[in-house]
Amino acid sequence: MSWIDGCVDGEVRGGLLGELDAVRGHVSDAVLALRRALAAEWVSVAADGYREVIEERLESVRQLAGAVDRADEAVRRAEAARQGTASTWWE
Amino acid sequence: MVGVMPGRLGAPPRRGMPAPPNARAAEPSDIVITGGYGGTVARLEDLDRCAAALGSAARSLEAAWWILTRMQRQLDERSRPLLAQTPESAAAAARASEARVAVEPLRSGRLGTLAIAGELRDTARRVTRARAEYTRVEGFVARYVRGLWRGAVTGLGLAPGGPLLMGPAIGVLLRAEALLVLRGGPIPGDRAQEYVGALANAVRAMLPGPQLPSADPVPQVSGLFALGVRAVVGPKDVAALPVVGTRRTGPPPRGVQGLVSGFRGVGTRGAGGSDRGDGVVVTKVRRADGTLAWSVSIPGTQRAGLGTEKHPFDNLSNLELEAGMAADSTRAVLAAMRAAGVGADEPVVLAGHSQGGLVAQRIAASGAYAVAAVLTLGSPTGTRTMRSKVPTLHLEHTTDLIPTLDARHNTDDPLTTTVRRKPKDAKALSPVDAHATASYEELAGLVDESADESVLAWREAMDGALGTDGEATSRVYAVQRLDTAR
Repeated sequence: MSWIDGCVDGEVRGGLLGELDAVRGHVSDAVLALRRALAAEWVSVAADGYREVIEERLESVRQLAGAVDRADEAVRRAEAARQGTASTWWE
Repeated sequence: MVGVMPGRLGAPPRRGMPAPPNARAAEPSDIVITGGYGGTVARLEDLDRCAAALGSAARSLEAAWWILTRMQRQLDERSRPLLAQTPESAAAAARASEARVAVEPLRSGRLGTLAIAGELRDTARRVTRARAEYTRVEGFVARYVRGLWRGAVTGLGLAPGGPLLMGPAIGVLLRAEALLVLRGGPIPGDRAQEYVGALANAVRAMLPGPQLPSADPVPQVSGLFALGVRAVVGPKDVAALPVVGTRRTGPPPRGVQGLVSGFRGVGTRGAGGSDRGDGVVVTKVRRADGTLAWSVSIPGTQRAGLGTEKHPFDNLSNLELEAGMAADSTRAVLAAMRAAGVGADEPVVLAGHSQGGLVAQRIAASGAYAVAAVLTLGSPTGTRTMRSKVPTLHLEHTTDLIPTLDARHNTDDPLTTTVRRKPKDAKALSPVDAHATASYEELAGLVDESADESVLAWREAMDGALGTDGEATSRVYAVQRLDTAR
């Protein structure tokens, strides 16, 4: 299950990776808000139309998950490279 | 930890009430509910929730965008080449540059956080606009489809000799309807409303000068007749006196049926000791917290005269009420409320049968008392003169011809709920029986069983005013016109 659809335990990260986790949190919140609206009881005659609109928007937000994961990889490499530089400096 | 809690998340119940099932599609009886909080076409709550969800999602993505922007700034700094470049620092700068390229589409790309947040905001705005449109259109559709018919009738009235033609045409139609009913056909409640509208437009067409189409001709025509009659009979004083021996104590009225039962067996006493049911019943409710609230039961038309009888609930009052003028029956009820000691700030629930419903609406609209809810039974309350800013529940039988005298269906807005009962066997409920308070008491029982949002919202307004416990003391007031001029 992707982090966007379920609870995922993980270590608390600092630096840019921590920032990216905060981005994940906000994207999750957006998904939660839209899923909550879909799960609620709809009475209106036009309910299907509004559900469709929300589902479309939900799909767009879900697609951000892949982009966040790709960015995570790149940021992780950048952080690792920076730490390598730092350790060289300390040594 | 990041992520969301999966699972079905129901909307919170509205204002402490259990969320009802799709009540409009599943009413257990033969009643049809329109208007009110639940709406007819779209429940406004659905649209509010949709707009709120979209707005909330947009805010979350905008917050993500700010963080991504901050990250980009840091990655920009790290991408810059240092003066004393080492192979490691050059590699770190290259990695930072790659990370920047990976983060950028997430921030500002076509499918990035800012673009999707913009789409969400835009959709939320459209839903909000749709909500406003629904509020307007719910009343619009009914009004203007019917307006076409009225326009045609008025057009005929404008034509040379049109008014003269219209009278016989309506006469022929009414004769045909009478024959249909005599042969066992259903009571033509809906069509009766159209005939009243046509007649009223025919009367308007006789006025000097061209008369433009009106979808609501009854107030003007009623006003013309009322002014004419009043000029003859003159203004009279009215009085309300408590009737000895009518004081009763008990629990406060519960539910719609509890309010309607207030019409049962009350009124001033006739010569033979019989109950005439012609008084105004004022009930004082001392709520559990010691505060006072009131309910007033207002009777229907009692006399057929036009301002010449002692009892003010006559046809002159009917005309004046429909015209939006001050009627003797309204003054009489206000006098009874004053005599009972109803405070201007104390919540009042008004229940009116037939003409009493018109009086209740006029008092609610006047703002003279803190009216919290109005219930009308078989009242012609569709005209523009019968609007108030108070939650109103109208009960009507389709075979009751009295509510058709306004020539309009009741307005369809969040404060106005109409419950119409179409009996499966229309002939079983004749127009006379259909108009009786006993029949409306039965309908009120069905309404109390309903889980419809609009009905529940009205019940909530009533319960909020009268409370659900406490003690009620009711008293009947006899109302009459005096011989003295006002």
